[in-house]
Amino acid sequence: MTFNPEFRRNLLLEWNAHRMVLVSGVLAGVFTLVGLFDPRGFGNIVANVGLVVFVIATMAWGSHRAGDAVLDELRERTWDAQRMSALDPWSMTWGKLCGATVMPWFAGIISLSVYFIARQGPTVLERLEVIATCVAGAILVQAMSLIGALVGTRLDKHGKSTLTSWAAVGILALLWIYFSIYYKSTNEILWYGTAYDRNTFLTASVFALAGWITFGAYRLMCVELAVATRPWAWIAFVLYLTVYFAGGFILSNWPFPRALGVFSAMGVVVSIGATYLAAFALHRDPLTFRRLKTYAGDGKRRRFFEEMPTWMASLVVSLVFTLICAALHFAPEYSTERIENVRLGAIAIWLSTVRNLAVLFYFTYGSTTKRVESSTIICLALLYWVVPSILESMSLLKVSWFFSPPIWERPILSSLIIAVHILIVGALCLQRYRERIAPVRIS
Amino acid sequence: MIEVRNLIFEYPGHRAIDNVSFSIDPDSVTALVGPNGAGKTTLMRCLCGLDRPLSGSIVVDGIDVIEHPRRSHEKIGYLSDFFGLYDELPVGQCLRYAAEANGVTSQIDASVRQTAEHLRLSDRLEQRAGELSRGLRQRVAIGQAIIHKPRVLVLDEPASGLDPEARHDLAELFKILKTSGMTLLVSSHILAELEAYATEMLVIRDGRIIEQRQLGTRAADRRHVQIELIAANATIVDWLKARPEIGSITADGARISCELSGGDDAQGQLLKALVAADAEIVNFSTVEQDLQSSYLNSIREQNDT
Repeated sequence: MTFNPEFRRNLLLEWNAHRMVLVSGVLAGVFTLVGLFDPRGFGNIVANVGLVVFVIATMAWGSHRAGDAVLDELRERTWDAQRMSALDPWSMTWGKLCGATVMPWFAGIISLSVYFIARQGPTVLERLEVIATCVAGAILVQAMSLIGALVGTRLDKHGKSTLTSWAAVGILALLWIYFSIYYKSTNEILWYGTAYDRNTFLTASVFALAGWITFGAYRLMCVELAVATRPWAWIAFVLYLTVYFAGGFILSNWPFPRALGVFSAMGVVVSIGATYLAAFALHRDPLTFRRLKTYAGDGKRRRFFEEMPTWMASLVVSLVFTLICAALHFAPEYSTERIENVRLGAIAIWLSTVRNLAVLFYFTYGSTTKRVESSTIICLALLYWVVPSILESMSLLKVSWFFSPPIWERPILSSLIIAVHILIVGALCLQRYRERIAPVRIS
Repeated sequence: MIEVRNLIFEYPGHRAIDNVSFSIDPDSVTALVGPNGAGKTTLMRCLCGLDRPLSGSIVVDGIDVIEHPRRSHEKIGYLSDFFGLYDELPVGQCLRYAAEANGVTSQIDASVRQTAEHLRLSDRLEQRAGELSRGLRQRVAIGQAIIHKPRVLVLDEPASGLDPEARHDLAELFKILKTSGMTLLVSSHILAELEAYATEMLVIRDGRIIEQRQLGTRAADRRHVQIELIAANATIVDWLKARPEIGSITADGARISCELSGGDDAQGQLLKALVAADAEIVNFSTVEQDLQSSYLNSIREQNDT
């Protein structure tokens, strides 16, 4: 049995004495220079600079290298050979993630060591907690970059890895800001009614998210290496996020219908969000429906689920949560909070999602594959925001309902109006599909 | 060795492979020929499990490529038309990586050495791949594709960009690989060079296989006849076209080329009939067809139908 060849190859390309000396020299220079300005010599300023250098090395440089681990294969036209190799997807994923980023991690470890030694005040355990959070955050950002690169291979958009790694940095920053500011006074967080230390919860959250994102990179690698996958991992991630976010609202002493109401409402929000994310960000094969129809017709159930796009999987999950919300229409009202009273409004929200996806596919079936997402967003903004606003300003409130129905006030009427939208957009979509996609023109 | 049945591959609004069926015998070298955009590369990528067709089946050495693409990869080596190498790595490391990544678990050094000898790269093992000439790079890429000893080797335009000497070397290499028990499927635009090593020809056009036949063993009753008249004569051309034993026909001034079926008897009868039809014949002979002429004839026949 040989050691992971992908990791070994990356080490051969990335790791050499010359680069080690160079990186060590630069870091030694930086920390010495900062130490000269630190009144305590080797104190908190140096420690904080250590953290900043870690972020720059592992999140900026490291994420760039993680994305390039795939993009270089595309540029050097070696990707097909890798796709046909006998390497399993996990070996390929960690081989690229750890191998391509070995120098950024080398710089990162030096920086964190400096932080650990120089930081004054916090206990050893607290310092280790900060280090653990930073490491998990770096893994998260690098895995996101790898995901972006893998998604980009299908979209022919090689800038995706940069975009996704910045998105990951954004998520981390939001998490940090949320936990630092919102829970500053209490220093603890209630999750399903149980109190947890703010920093410990943040560390655990980042670790869990890094695990999920790395798992996501592995699943995308499975697709690239022709390992059959069904979208259960995406469904599991949606359920995890639902459980995670719902915990911030639900208290342990709540009656079951109330907790279920909030949980399912959160499920609707998360699964619909995931549906939009998957539909807009991932590759949309215009032939998906034809393939699914062929597999269903041939009774190939396994192939059907392998071909099922992720957005469709989360849309099905959102339908389940929507039906639970709607069923709770008959449950008693416990508070006036909207999150607890989505109820029939969930049907209108779900139908809106279907309509918006139909608009997206209308543009996907167009003559150009460029600017599909932006065209969809502009079209949706015009139809459901600009036009109704103009109509409202002209005191044509009820006419404006046709474009932007009052989901919360009149959920049933709104659902019917949106169903009409779906019929109209669906018909346009079908017409375009028949014109541009369905005809089989032979060469 | 390769069995393809009712293969269909579609792009939006366009069917690139249209219900294709064929089989390829083991230990053969099949030339996949066809015009640009005929579907050669798409077909090859489907055979290698790199692209998933809409329907149909592909079986390589008993393994269903569509159902078990990973298992089929053990049996297939593939060299794409725009192949790449890890330019920063020495040739030896490139081959070693390919061996390890393709599941060679024991005697890796021996495999690298053997492959390098096979491809006459033994003296280049320490040289960086990026420093090699196009021909040598091609050899390294082929080495990477065959180091795990696949049963089938699929090569898309392997000779493009090579000088005549490198092409000749490549042809010799393919012959060696064939004799070592490998089945090769090679696409190329340069038909003359395919002739040097191909044993079968598969003609693809508009996503359909229009002809598959063995080379050099064309049916004895079918031959290519060249007739030269004193002057161009459209009546004789029409007269020939009307005869059932005549297949495809081309007229270039006074020179007429046609496919004749029926063997020596039919050839004698045709000459007799031409004389009886007052054709002023200067020359009447059979000609051996090269791959290029054979391919062009197939295309013409397809156009006629």
